[in-house]
Amino acid sequence: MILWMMPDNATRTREVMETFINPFKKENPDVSVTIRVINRRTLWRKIFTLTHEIPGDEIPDVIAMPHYWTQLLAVGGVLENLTELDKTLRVDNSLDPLKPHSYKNDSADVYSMPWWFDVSALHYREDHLKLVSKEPRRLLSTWQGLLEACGMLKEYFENVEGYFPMQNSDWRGMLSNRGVLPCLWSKGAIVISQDGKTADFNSPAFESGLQDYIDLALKRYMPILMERNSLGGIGLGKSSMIITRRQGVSVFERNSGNIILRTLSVPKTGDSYVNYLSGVNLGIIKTGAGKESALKFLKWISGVENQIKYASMAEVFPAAEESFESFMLFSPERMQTYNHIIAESASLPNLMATGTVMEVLGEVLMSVVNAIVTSRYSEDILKSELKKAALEVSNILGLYGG
Amino acid sequence: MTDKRKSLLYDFYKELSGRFTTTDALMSHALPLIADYANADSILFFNWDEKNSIISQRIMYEKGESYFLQEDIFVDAMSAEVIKFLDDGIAESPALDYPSVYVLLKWNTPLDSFKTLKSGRASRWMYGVLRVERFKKNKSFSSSDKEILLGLARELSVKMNLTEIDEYNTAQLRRAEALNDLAEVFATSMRLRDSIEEILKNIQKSFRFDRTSLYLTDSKSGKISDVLIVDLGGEVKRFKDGDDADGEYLSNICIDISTCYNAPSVSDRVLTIPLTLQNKTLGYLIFDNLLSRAPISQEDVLSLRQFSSQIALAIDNARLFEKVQELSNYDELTKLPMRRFFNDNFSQEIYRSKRFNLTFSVLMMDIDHFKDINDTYGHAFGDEVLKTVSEVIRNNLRQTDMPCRYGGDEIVIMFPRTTGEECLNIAKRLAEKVRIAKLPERFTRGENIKLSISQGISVFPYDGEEESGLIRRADEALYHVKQHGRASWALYSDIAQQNEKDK
Repeated sequence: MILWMMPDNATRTREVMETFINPFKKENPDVSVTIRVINRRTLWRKIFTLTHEIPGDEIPDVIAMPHYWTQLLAVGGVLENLTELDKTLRVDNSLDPLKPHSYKNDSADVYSMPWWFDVSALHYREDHLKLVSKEPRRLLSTWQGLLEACGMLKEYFENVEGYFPMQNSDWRGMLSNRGVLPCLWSKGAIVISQDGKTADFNSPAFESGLQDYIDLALKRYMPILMERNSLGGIGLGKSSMIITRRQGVSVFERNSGNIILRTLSVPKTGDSYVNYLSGVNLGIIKTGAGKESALKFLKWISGVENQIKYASMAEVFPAAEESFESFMLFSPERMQTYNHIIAESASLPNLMATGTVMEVLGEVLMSVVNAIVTSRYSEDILKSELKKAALEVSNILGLYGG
Repeated sequence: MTDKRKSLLYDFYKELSGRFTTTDALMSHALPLIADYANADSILFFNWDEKNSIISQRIMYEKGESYFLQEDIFVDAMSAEVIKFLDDGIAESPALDYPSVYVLLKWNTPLDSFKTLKSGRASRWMYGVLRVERFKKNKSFSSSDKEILLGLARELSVKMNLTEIDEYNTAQLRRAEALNDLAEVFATSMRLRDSIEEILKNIQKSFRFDRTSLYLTDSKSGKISDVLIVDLGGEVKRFKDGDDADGEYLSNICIDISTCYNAPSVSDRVLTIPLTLQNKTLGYLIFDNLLSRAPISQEDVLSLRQFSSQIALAIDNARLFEKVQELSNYDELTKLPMRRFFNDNFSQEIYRSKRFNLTFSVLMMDIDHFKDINDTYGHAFGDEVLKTVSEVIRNNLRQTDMPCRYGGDEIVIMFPRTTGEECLNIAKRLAEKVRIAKLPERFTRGENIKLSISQGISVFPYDGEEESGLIRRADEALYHVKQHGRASWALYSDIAQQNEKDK
């Protein structure tokens, strides 16, 4: 029996996964697979206990995880060395930005297999934006333009109850790391450098990039901490834009009908466009029971054909070069829309401290959101939170950085 | 209350009568039942995070399945609606466009202790919220439905309290077992390094910290001299004050202790416990969850603080034990191991070399004209010569080499994994170092006194496979050197070969 654990916030995840692995179950009737979907925060906490034996606690055999967790879990003794299990395993057929995320330190051994990736972008309702701008694409090319568009749309739809120009793609209803990263990177801020030695939470670029994103919530252009089901979203005309991954569009807008959604790079806050590329890798847990079956399963899921299959089902992108090319060539529209968005993307580095730094960033955003909803927000609060975070991140990088 | 409602509540009570190891397990069992009783399409359980003014969803039950999802909703605890909700225990959702009600869960903290709320008020209550939804059925909740939900919430609240007490007790039991295991470690090992390593590993395993570190202070200088860290993967790393890389690391550690660890923002993820005994600081134990950012519980803090005095005592005992061992195994004058201690190691080296098919060398040396030195300059001067030569030896050996004061001015050194040729090179180097060694001015009174040594070498297994044989051969080689002018060195095999030729 294999226990496959993965993070997600959507109710459909398990359903999609069950359908996806059905052929494996048929091909391997002796291997039963149980899917366990837990939220990301719970998974984050869980990975730190997987090396300890906790009575009654479930230990997964296979784990799907953000690709930048590989180093942490490999060094922490959580992930199995896949090369030791199967010397033929290769990840050099993965797309370039995903390749470094399978290894531990400078070792050539593989600890996790790239499976799929997604990239954030701005999706907008063409019909709505045309109501306020003759050239939506031009307007939405910069963050300033985006805020102007939000202002005009809010005014235009002021009589639509529950309308927000921007739909919040964060399942929790928070300001998300995923949302803020493009704003920070575009401004030139270093969230965590590729060598793990630097992070500049306290820099003007960081503060300014963060403030740009915060403005969406502060100016009430995007809902935060509201009952999710009370928000209508793009499909119902309660929003006009959403910054999310490709998968996010399908999750949020399954019922959008004939509405035409256009997709652009996330508007630039600084000199360049930087979209957030997030990968999902698969690993085998060292303390798991069924290594042989787990490896068989992992190889099946991450196989070239199955990557394409899953990417089509879940509206994401396959991680292997060959799968990705076939997937893109299959749809000229997809190719036209996403080629430059992917080219203009960046990813978090695979370092021991990356996940922790993201947690710190999440805590800053939590404090900011709390200050906004309780009408206490000021620049001083942001400065103070960033100062505190900068000290913490500096200590963390001192201990676990490059 | 109608009989039907009573019976329903009794059924619910019976269903929850079993033991649940966690509140998540309890909720996973209770939510489907409530959904059934309340004829609901979905039901969600939220924790009330008073500090952040949000209710935060933990579990949702829908279509026969439980999901661990997240949804955070702002709640203004001071608003009139929320105050009324706290009084009534139930309220309809003002925002959702289908029938849905929030139901309050309220239970005692496990220790029935008070906690301070954000508002400054003290409370011994924990709060949670259920959201019961009828989005498909679109049928509003009657007052009878609400009565039932309030009754179910009361029952569930009681069970929450009991489950949290259970969780608390289980955690306490785990702590007690961990401390018991640690006490056993003290009883079974007196060696400082072994026992400390075991203690740290056990703490790491039982308390599940990201990192457990021990900083030991030097008993004389009071500065940090040794650092042991058990990292996330359970690997033990050891740093010692001394060489450059470690020195740099230790200075970072000192910064950690003085600044980072005392920073208020990280204090609930870092626990620093000074190890003191009779007002003497032996070191610091530092536990941290800096990577996972999981807060360290107050119960863990209390347990470890209580236990720290035992750890301090164990360290002190182990240090004392090592000191006694040092006194019994090492010669006080030369600080070289004594013959008995050397012989133990000698036997082990023979065993290891036989087993792994290795060679090793034995070097025996004499200080040239030592008797004359004693007779001419006195015994105090002779002692100083012995100390100087011993110091040269101690400073110029590998960690694995084993010297010994064999008797009088005779010193024997064992060099594991060396050939005769390699040992000859070492002998040359030692002779040169002794030649340039300076005796203290107060003894020489300006006189230029040069020391020299004679050395004889035997090699295992060629010159013998037993201790006595190897020592005898080295002694024969030494005798040969002394007979041929001293201040030199020789391999027993070379002499034997020469003797054979001469015959």
